[in-house]
Amino acid sequence: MGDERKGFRRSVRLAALALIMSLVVLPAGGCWDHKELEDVAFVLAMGLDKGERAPLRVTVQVAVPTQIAPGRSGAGPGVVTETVEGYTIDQVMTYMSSFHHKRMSLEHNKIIVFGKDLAMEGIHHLIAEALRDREIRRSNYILVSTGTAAEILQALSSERNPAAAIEELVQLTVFTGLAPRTNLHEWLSAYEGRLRAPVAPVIGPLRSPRQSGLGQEGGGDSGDGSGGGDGDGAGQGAGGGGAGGGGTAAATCPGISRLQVMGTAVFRGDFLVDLMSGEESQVYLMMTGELKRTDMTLHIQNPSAMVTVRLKGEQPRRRLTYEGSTAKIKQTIVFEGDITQFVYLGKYLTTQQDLNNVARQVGEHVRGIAQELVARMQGLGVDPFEYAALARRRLSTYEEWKKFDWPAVYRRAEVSIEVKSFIRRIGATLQSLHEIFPEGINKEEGQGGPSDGTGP
Amino acid sequence: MMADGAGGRDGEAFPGVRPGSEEFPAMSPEWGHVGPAEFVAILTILLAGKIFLTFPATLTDRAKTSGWIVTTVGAMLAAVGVLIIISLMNRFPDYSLARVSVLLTGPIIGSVFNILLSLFFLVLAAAVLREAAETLVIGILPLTPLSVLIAVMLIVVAYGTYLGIEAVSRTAFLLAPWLLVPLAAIILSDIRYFDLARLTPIWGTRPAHILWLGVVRSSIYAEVVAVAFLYPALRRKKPILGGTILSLGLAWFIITAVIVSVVAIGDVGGASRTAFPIYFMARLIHFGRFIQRVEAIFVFLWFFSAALNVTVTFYIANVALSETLHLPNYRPLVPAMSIILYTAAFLAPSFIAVINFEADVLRVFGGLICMGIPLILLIVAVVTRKRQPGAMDRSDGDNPRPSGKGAAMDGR
Repeated sequence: MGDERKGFRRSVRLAALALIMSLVVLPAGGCWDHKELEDVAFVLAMGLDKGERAPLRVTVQVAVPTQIAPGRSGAGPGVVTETVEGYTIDQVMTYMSSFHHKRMSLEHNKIIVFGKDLAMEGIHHLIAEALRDREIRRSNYILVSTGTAAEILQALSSERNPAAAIEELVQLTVFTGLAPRTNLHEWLSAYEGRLRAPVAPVIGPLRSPRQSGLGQEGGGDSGDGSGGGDGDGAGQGAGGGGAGGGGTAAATCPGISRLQVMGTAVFRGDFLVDLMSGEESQVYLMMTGELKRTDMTLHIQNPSAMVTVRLKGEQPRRRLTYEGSTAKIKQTIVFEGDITQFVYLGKYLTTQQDLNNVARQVGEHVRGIAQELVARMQGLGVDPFEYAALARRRLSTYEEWKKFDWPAVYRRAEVSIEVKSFIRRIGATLQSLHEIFPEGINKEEGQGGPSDGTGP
Repeated sequence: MMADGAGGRDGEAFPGVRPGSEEFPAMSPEWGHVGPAEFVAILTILLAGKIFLTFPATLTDRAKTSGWIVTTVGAMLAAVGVLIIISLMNRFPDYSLARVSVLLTGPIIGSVFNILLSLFFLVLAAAVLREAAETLVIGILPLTPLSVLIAVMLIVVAYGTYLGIEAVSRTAFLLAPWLLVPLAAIILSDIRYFDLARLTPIWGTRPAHILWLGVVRSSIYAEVVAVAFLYPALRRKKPILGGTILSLGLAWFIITAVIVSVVAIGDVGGASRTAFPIYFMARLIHFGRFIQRVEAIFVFLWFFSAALNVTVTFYIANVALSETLHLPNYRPLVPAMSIILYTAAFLAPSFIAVINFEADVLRVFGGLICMGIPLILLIVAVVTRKRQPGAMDRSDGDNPRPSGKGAAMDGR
């Protein structure tokens, strides 16, 4: 009898426990507000432009799940592109849901493109307020378009997954060094912390060499850095060293993509004020220590050659001192490079002195761009180099920092750039044919060889 | 029969009050038993659990770049508080703080102290419960009604409280690694966003203000007074000082590491504007295409740290009240107190009201209650030379193991 009662009590207790566990587990697991995948329209990329009838024009790429899945390529575009105007992103999403017969969701959004016109009017309010929404992640990449954001998103809309294509373009900047990689968090931290001016990569439609101002001179001359001077074309304006920092290379490979990510958009506060070219972006990333690796091609003298150097960025050294009210900033750019391509035009690299000579010339080239860049940024009153951190460290309280007028100090600062460059390796080829056959392999070559070192 | 006639020389027994007597049993079976490792785990989670909520944001808002100095000064002051509490409790190793306050200051003042403690912990539990539920609504389950989330968490809390501190502390011990490892993973995963320049200028709002904040905000560690409620349950009394200091040190390390991380990642502006900095750090994790959107894994952190936190504070609120009401066992209070807790969690009109109330009221006056009452009681005990008979021996040794069947667990 006693055992039966114990058994009954145990059963009741177990049943009660199971009930409690169910009550706890089911709602905590999210079953309460479950969403079926087919009821949600997932936005993969979003573009923000100035509107005509409302302040904001939002263009979104919405995934078409049946087309975007791997193995479905060719069956149709993987996204639908929509544009609606409104006052806030959330308002536009609500409007879109009303005709898209699915609830719009930004949970899988990865890319936010700001149109140039909108960026010039300030974007902080959009970013900060967008982040109130739990669906928008701080890890979303942001880009600034050379034109409108809408045209960027429409450019690839025939692809299976355009957002992934843009994401890959952004991620490739680690290898090209032609643009920074910025997400919402990084942009916002820079803006709110005032340690550096916010920057973002530039995205634009790929232009032909003629359109971009590149290639007409073939990249042969060491150039004057004006190769990309077409006004708005930061991405195209990579002409600094004569070889165009990749603009020409991309242009000669049509079909890979109709968009390119190259150049750096620089903000004063949250207003877009300048676009750096691709080569300037390479040097800028060297100055901030964010460059992983990049290839830089330029024409060197003595020996006269076109050389491509693969540079690996090192942490830069920076020092700030004050002389009276004038700030003196000493920036040392340090990099190591390997020669990956050496278009032989005269004497080949055979001695350490030759390597030092190449390193010196690459260093001078980088220093020239850096000095020009710093002067331009000082003129604009923007500090994307994070020199403000040097000033902030010297203060004792945060209140002092809040009151400190760094832009005014920075404008008047004397910035000196020093470059320490090293060439360590010359690739897998130790000698040129010229060393082995000074007269040339055949008579024509021997006679016509560029032994005079004058270049093409 | 209680403290009215109590007095006499050091070590003298309370007239009419003997450990084990009906009025004041030496160790209520409801206490259960807590081992040293479980003690360290539960106390550390109780002290450091606030980092998952809005605490890092509110502290950064007040202290700017010097939050880590505030937490350090606060921890040092809390260590002094620990010495006071343990000095007091060593005199009464078998009693909880609530009972000691009645014994030392009489039924009226003692009850006032106990009601203050009970109220503080009840309100703290309500605030944490509301904040934790709001975190889930804002971050994970936006369509789930707040009442459902609070009710679900309250079921866990009430059940844990009913089971007793032994069950809760063992749960804390089992969960501690599962809370610590993901937290470390979050911080390490976001290390690429660190910029130590954001931690400068070192002296935040200015040195004097930061030190003052450290004093005022020592109530960050106000929950350390829980030691005085766990004390009777400790199987071994000897390592309590080391265990408490270890817990305090671990909590300081965790809190400071989080404060430094959120400022180094988001600067003062970002850290103080973000409602749940740890959650935003978890959402930043992005390693290529395959390791991203991992914050769902960390929901575990929020739920269980909050549940353990609220359970212990709710437990203390119940024990303090039961002592005030001279109840032999706190358990009959649990259902009624649960309803009060549920209601209290909804008293604040908005989420922002809860944050401000916790930062500006609970975390300022909490220190006065949690450190002030033990200090007053210690002074009274020293001046009146009161202590539990045999306390000197007992405080250095072990609790007697209960012999009765079932007594070893929790009195069921």
